[in-house]
This record gives sequence, C-alpha cells and structure tokens, in this order.
Amino acid sequence: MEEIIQILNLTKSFGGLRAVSNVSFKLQKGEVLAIIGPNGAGKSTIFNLISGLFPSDDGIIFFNGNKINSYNPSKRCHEGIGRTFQICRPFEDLNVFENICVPAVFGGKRRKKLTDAHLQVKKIIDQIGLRGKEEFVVSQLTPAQIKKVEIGRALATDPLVLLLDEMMSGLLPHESDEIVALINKINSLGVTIIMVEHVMRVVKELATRVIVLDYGKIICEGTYEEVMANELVIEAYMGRDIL
Amino acid sequence: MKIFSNTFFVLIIISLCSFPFYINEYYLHNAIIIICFAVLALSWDLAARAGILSLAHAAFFGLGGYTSALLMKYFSLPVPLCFTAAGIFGSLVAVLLGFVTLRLSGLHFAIGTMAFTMLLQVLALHFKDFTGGAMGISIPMLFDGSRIPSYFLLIAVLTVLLICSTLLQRSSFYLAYTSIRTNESTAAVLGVNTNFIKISLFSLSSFFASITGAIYFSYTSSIIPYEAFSLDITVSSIVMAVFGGLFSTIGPIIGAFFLKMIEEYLRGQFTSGHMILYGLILIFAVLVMPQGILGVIKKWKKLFKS
Repeated sequence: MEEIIQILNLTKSFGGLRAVSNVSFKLQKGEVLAIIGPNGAGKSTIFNLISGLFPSDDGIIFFNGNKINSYNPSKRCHEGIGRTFQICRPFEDLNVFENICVPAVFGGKRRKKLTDAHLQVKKIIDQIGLRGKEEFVVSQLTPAQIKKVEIGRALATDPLVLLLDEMMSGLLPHESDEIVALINKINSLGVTIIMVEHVMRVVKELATRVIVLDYGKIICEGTYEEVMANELVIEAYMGRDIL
Repeated sequence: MKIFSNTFFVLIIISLCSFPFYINEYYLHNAIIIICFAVLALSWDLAARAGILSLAHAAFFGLGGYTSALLMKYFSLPVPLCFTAAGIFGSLVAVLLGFVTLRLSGLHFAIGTMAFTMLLQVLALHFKDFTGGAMGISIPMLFDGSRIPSYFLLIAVLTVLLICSTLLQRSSFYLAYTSIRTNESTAAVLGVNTNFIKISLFSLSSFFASITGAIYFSYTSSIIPYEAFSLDITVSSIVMAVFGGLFSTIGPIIGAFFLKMIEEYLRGQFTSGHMILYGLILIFAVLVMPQGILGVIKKWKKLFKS
C-alpha cells in the first residue's frame, strides 16, 4: 500500500510544556488510524500541527510525498488535508448550505465556480443526511447535526486525508452510530482517516490501527486488541498502584 | 433576505438625480457631505466584513486628499487624473499596510491602524515645505465652486461603490469574508486564503476612502492635517455603519443619511450642546437597536411575514 502521511520526530512545546515529543508514524492510503490517550496527551496538538494551525518546533511532515512543514493551513487544505475540530466551529453568520459551500468553493485543489460548488454541496448534504436543513442557521441545529455540518465541511475540501477530532463527544449512542456509519461510508470512498477519539467502542469499530499517546509521546501502537492489552496503556489510563 | 424592492431603488435613484435642481445651496452642500460620509461608511464596512476593525479610514481619506492636492500643486495634473491617482495610491499603501498589520488580530490591528493615522498627521505637519504644515494646501475649487457637478461626481463614486459592494455580496467572496469574520483559523483550514481576501478588501475599502478624500478636499478647496487625518472621520464612518446596519450594502448609507440629518437638525435647533444630544441619541440607538436600522426593518418584515 502507498504511504500518504509520514511524520518524523514531530515536536511541539508551549513554553515549558512539551505537548508533542518526537512523534513519528506513517499512514497508508485508505487506513483508519485512531490516536487515543488521556486528556492533555497531545492528540489535538498533532492535528493542529498536521493541518498547519501550529508551526512545529522540530520534525518533518510528509504528505503525499511532499514536505509540507512550510505550507500554510489553506495550502495544506488544497493539498488534501481536511479536518474537523473537537469543539465544533461552525460559521454562525452562515446557514448550513453556506457553511459547506465555503470549503466547496475554496478548499479543493482549484477554486470552484459557485454553480459547481452548489452541486457538490447538495450531494454532501444528502450524504450527511441534512436534506431539508439547508437554510437552518447553527442555533437551530442539534449537536449531532452540527457535527454532521463539521464533517460535511471537511468533505467539501475533497480531502485525501480526513482528521476527525473527537467527533463522538457529547453525542447520544444512537447519534454516535449515525456518525460511525457516515465515517465508514467516507472511508469506503477511499478517504484515509485519522481520528482522535475517547469513545473506545467507536475506536474498536472503526480503527484499523491505534496509536496511544501519553505526555506527548507514543507509548504503544498496534491493533485495538493489542493496545488494550498493553501494560503501559492500562497504566496511562488507570494509573499505577502505589501500595 | 431582500429588504427593499427594485422599484424602491429606482425611485431613490430618480429622486437623487433630480432633487439637486430643486433645492437651495445649503441643502445641496449638506447632500454632498452626506454622500461623502455614505461612501466612507460603506467603504469602511467593506473591510469590516472580513473582521477588519480599521481605524485608518481617516488616514486614507487624508492620504487621498494630500496625494491629489500635491499632484495639482507640484505637477498641475488634470483633476480627474489626480483623483484616480489618489485612489490608486491609497489602495497600494493599504496593501503595504495590510501586509504589515493584518497579521495582528482585533484590537492590536485597530491600534496599529490608529497609529498609522497619527503618523501621517505628524508627517503632514512636519514636512512644512512640501505639505504646507499646519496651514495646509490651497486647492483649486472643484468645478469652479459649482455644487451640482460636485454632487453628481460623488453620486457616481457612490454608485460604483454600491455596485462593487453588491457584486461582492453576491459572489463567493461573501462566503470567504463572512467565514473569516466568524472564525479566521477555521476559514484557513477550510482552504480560504485569508490574507489575500483581507488585503483585497482592505485595499478596495481604502481606494474609496482615498478617492473620497481627494474629491472632498478639492470641493472645500483646502486641506489641513488636523481635518484630513482627524479620528472623527474614522469614528463617524464606523458609527454610521453600525447605526445603519453592519455588513450590508444599504445599511451604512442609511446610517450616514440619518445621522448627518440628525446632526444638522440639532445644530440648527440648539446653538450649544447639540453634540451632547447627538451623543445621547447614539447611545439610545445602540441600546435599542444593536443591529442598526436595517436590523429593525428585518425584524418588522419577519413579523409581518409570520
């Protein structure tokens, strides 16, 4: 299989805190990689480094064979990196249709005409199951629907890799099931996925490979079953007996 | 939501074109000032649509005035060429200023742009031999002091700005600048070239402020630093845009019209203290209609529909 992302010794500090420390991993096309770890382990920081929101202190990010460290966030998006945010960031002044239309016009490899973008947005709205809600503003949507808009926007950038940051947080079980089905559908279309997730049921269901982070370092990597049986992972989540 | 019908706009245009022939010089002068401020308020709003809180509008207003005045004084260039050069120079300076300051966010950007205005004022005062210092520069009167052609020239500028604003609101630019205004980093992650959009809007906004400055000071036939780079110009532009309704084409124009009318009416009625009343009206208006006049009209329309 072809590699789409290769990360070498990625490092990021905030003052005295080293949020990400010498993290390296590779991602094959079509994979679903889950990054898990306790709060503050550096999971979302890795997403911010890959999508270009934070510059890295050290390390190299290769995407599709190109070193992208110097690319700004919009260029990384044009190259094919789409992402969602842990706390959804919909554009409150725009309705659902317009929210998805922004990346449909500007997010792809080339800027699209409005008419072409509108066709794409209609398709995505059907895909994410928000038909009939196009004119709704964010305040009229449920949390699950807002998450769907977030996914819809990332999809509209025509991503090769989709970074999904805690999509299941705050959702009811049946709402999570809908999102899982949607992610499966997106992956089946050939989109590679990296997800940060706390809901282990979802990780088990979706991930082909799991990376566990603790204090900014990778402590374990493997299948879901492998990492769940690992002592270091159990210690990171449950703590160590001191008696 | 469409606020006004096309018929309404046609009626406005007809009345704007015909009424200078029926009113006296005093009202015509006020109409010219209102149009100047309508251009300033709407052009400030153009940049504000991308979240750019510029306090440099007076800087470009004055820069346009000085560019045009200096070109007339030292090179005796034709007036239309001086006005166009003033607009273009203003927009180029905005591009440079944008590169330097637009990486700053919110308040920091606002302070940076205010400092730019003060810098230009100091420069105009300091280089006396070139700019005339505090005494300023005398400029040949626009259209030999005839007000009707000056009025129509400003109407033409306002019309071009209206067209630009409407086209922007209907194009994909609308999506780009609205997304930047709401959340710039998210817009960038979704592929919007935020710097390009912000600098383009800032430059366009400054073009219109500069050309208006050039025309205004040619109309008043003199330019001095304290008037050209006065923070009052910037504050008035912002207040008018907020009063009428932000991020719209028609809102800032409505704001300029009503506020200038109120100001002039109070000035006529009260020999002193009229600005206190004016201030109280503004405070009341912001409290009662935070979305501006346009927001109130939108609410009424919704109520009628439901």
